[in-house]
Amino acid sequence: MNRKGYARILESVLAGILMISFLTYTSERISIERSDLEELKNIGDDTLIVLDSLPYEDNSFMYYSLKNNPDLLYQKIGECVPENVDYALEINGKRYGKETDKETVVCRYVKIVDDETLIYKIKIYLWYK
Amino acid sequence: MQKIEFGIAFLIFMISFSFIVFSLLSSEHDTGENMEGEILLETFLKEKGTPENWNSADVEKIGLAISPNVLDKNKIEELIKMDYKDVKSILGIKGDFRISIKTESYNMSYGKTVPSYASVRKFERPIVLDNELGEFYLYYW
Repeated sequence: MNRKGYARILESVLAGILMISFLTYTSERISIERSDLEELKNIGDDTLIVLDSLPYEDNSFMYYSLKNNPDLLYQKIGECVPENVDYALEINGKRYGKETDKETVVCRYVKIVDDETLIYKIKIYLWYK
Repeated sequence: MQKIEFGIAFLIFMISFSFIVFSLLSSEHDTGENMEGEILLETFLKEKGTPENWNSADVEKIGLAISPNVLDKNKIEELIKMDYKDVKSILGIKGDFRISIKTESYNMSYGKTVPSYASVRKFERPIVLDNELGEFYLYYW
């Protein structure tokens, strides 16, 4: 085999290695990102459930803070989400917390306060720090 | 000469193909592990178990919840009394796990020691226990 032949073989080997690395990296990256976002969504949904179940001042924490102090709800969400997660809260279109340009998961919840039939549309935005 | 080149090209193709198949299979395995962890989390946090007020002697199905994410301390205490192998067999899981519950006034852990060598999936969820906000951790491998 002459030098040209060896060069072609080397070229093919390098191309093969590059292709394998690229495909493996891309497929792993996509599957990690997808499962991370699903996990974030589950954390957000559970946070909303928990805050609506947590008793507070003869009612739920969610009820109390929506009627009296939305900032308190914003702070309490911080106790529910993991340390590597950042968040923002939105109540009837008013946002509490930071803006971000990172990929965000949104969890929605509607709370109806019976006595005055007040409807609160609650959203929490979650993203990894 | 051309035959040698064709042979080497074919060999490279086969190696690439095997790598792709292997990485697809291993990502499917990870997805399966994730799924089992999520099902286990769902069982602990969303289900009451059977019978509804089960104890370590009569349990048929394990669940720690009174309602979703609101946990029953009695059921947690009953779970602690149980042998890990029996719990695994009732849960019907292949992997191993460890759970931890932390609130301001309560702290518990149950299950196998988390290994440093295996790939361990960690789940963290907010819970309510005895009217207190807390955290539930599940490690699954």
